[in-house]
Amino acid sequence: MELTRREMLKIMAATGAVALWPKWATDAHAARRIVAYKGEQAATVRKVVEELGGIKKFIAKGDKVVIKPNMGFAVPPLRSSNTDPIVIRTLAELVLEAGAKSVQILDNPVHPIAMCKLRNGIAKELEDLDDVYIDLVKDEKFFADVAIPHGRKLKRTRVLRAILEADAVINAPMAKSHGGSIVSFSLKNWMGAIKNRIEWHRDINLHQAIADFATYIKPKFTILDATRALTTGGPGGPGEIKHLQTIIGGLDQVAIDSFAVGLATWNGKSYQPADIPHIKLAAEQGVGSMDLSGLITLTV
Amino acid sequence: MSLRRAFQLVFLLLFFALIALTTFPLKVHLPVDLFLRMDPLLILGASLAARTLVAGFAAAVVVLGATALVGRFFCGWICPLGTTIELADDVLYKRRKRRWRNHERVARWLKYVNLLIILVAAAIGYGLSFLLDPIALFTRTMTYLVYPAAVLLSNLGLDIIRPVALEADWTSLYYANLHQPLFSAGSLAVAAVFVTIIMLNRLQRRFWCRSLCPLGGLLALAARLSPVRRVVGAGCDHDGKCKRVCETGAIDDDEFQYDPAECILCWRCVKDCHLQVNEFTLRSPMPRLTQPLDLNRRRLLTGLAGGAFGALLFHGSPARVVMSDRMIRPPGALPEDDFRKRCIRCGQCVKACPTNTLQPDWTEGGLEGLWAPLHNMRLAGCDQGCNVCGQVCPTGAIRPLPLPEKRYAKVGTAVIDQQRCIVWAEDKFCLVCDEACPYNAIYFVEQEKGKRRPFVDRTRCNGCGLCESLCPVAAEGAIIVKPDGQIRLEEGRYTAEAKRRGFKFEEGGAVDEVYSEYPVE
Repeated sequence: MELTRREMLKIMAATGAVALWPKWATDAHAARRIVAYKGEQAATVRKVVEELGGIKKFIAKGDKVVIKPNMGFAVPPLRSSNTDPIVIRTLAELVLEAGAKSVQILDNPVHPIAMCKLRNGIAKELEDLDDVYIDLVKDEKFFADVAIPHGRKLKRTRVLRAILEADAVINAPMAKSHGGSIVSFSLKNWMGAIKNRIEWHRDINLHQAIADFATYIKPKFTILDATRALTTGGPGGPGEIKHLQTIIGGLDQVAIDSFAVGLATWNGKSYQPADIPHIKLAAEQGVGSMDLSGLITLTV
Repeated sequence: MSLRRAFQLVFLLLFFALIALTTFPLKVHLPVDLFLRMDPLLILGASLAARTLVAGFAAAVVVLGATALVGRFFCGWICPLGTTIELADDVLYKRRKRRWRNHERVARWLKYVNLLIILVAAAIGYGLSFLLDPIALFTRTMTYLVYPAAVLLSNLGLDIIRPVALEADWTSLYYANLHQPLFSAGSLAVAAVFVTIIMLNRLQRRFWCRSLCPLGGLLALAARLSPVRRVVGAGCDHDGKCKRVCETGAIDDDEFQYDPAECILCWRCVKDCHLQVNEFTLRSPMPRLTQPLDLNRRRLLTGLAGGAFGALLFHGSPARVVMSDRMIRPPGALPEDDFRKRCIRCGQCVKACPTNTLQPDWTEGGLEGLWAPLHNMRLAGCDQGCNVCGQVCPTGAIRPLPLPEKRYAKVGTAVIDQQRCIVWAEDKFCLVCDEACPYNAIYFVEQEKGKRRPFVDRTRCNGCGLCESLCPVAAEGAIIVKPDGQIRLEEGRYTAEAKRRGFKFEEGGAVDEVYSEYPVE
């Protein structure tokens, strides 16, 4: 077989590329990979985290960890407006098993704090865990102003102090339809970590604000609860609940959201990831990738 | 500490505790309105005005009956306002010279006039007892003033230790923050009444109780029937101690005579007499009362005229006929006229309301609506899994409704202001009201091509106000609940009335079951 010099150079380059394939490129792939399992909540969350590399990859001994679920609606778990209490519990258990010093589970609720606590069932589900603190926080004094350097429209906003000060932050949203942002998955969940939501609704484009904030916030990983997705009437419900029985995990929130878009119809319509402006904008702004090829590990 | 003071403190603490426990979710076995229900003036006033016996009046009958047997024990041993006046007097005025000496009878008749005004107005059909009844006004002082102030102070205290908690990793303490109830200027007027009552001690100790308290007047009338009387035995040296220490100045100048209508059984004359010649004992046959009732023809007429005038003030007020668009009463509130007759402005509903949407009225309802509960939907919506306001109302001005009934007790209807709504006026994309609505009462219709506009389905809106509370338009918002369409029933089922009018407020099966764990029915 004769090789032209050009072909020879190509092979050499390819060989070199494989030999010298940098670790960061593999890591980059791992960082993009998302995992989705179907099954019962606690075991599935554990499997997903294991598949992402295990909890120890994200949480170090002695870390102060913040988990940010959806828990801002004063409705019982069956309404699917809040992340399922068992999913939150399992995440808290994992974090504690990794040797974390404490776990704070925080949200800035839409409904009155007392009513959320009464109905969302989360404190009850987690009451026997030590070093776990569940708090719903609305008051100005628990937020701090931050700059969003890569935001297009959103330049500053006030964020939960605990999130800024945590060693590790975990995003634990619920899969919901949403009247304003079409869907509410990983990216949209961060609206519960900031103080001034009215500004996002009223003064800047909601989708742009969500994407802008995603350029700022860096969770260690995300677990999207799509076990009982609220496919209509979200985010507060009541609405149709589709038992997808799926937990999706990953590091790339754009990829997770892009995948979740295809799991169901949202308010009765099918969407492509690029149809959801905040997902598209987040991808454009480099938060993650909408291209799912070769990323998903899905086990039924 | 005397036995009486111990009793007083126990009842005062019980009073505070019951107000603190007037909260959602309510523990059903606790009679949080106990003190209000013990008050015969409130029960009598509300029953008379409403021409019906207010439910749960037994405790009041007991108090009145027992007073006729032994005298004004309620004033001396139980009344939380009386105790507070004494405690404040001990601290503030005890060492100061008073305007009048202790046994001087200064305008004692005023309390009967106050009583008459209330009863006459009630007989005509207007509820005035809320203004001066001691239990109503003291409860109101707690719910509208002391409670929010206590929350404010607690939060300030917590703010001070918050940095320490953060450093020490006491996370629970770091996030400890009480929900601050917000109240209108009406609280200031409540404060003014209370402070005045305390300052009256400058004139005489417990001046309020002696001369002004209408409940004291009612109990004084009953106490005149009591066969238990103070007797001064042989050997009295007339040193005048008893008449100086008597809490209400009930003992006459000569130390022998006293007025059972004024005596609150404080026992000071018995305890402090250095000869121990004072005693209370059953007298048979009953001695003739030496003090005539402090009511002459002129005073009687003053009371009658005052009551009639008070009733006229209410009757003649335009606010009785013309309702303000802001007058959203709590769900289950009786029809407006009946509601005002019964509501004693104790503020228990406002205190218990978990979202703070219930507010004491200050300007909307005129004088006769003063301090009565109103919704401020802009502050918060009415939680659809809560029915606590009706559960804590002592007079049934708000009916105690099971949750499904409460949900159908429509308080008003949301109206979209198309001039201000950012979807209508600015073509912005917004559907916060639609999201917030628990009953899907907001729907969108395409008006021009590509322009979908929100509307309210009046048959599905029960006026809960969640939309109003969340509307992103500044100040008043662009969707406002107005009283139009409200269902106010004296009796009967709201579900039936709603059905008759073609209303339907349903969330769906499972939810109702889960909600029902919490409310008290």
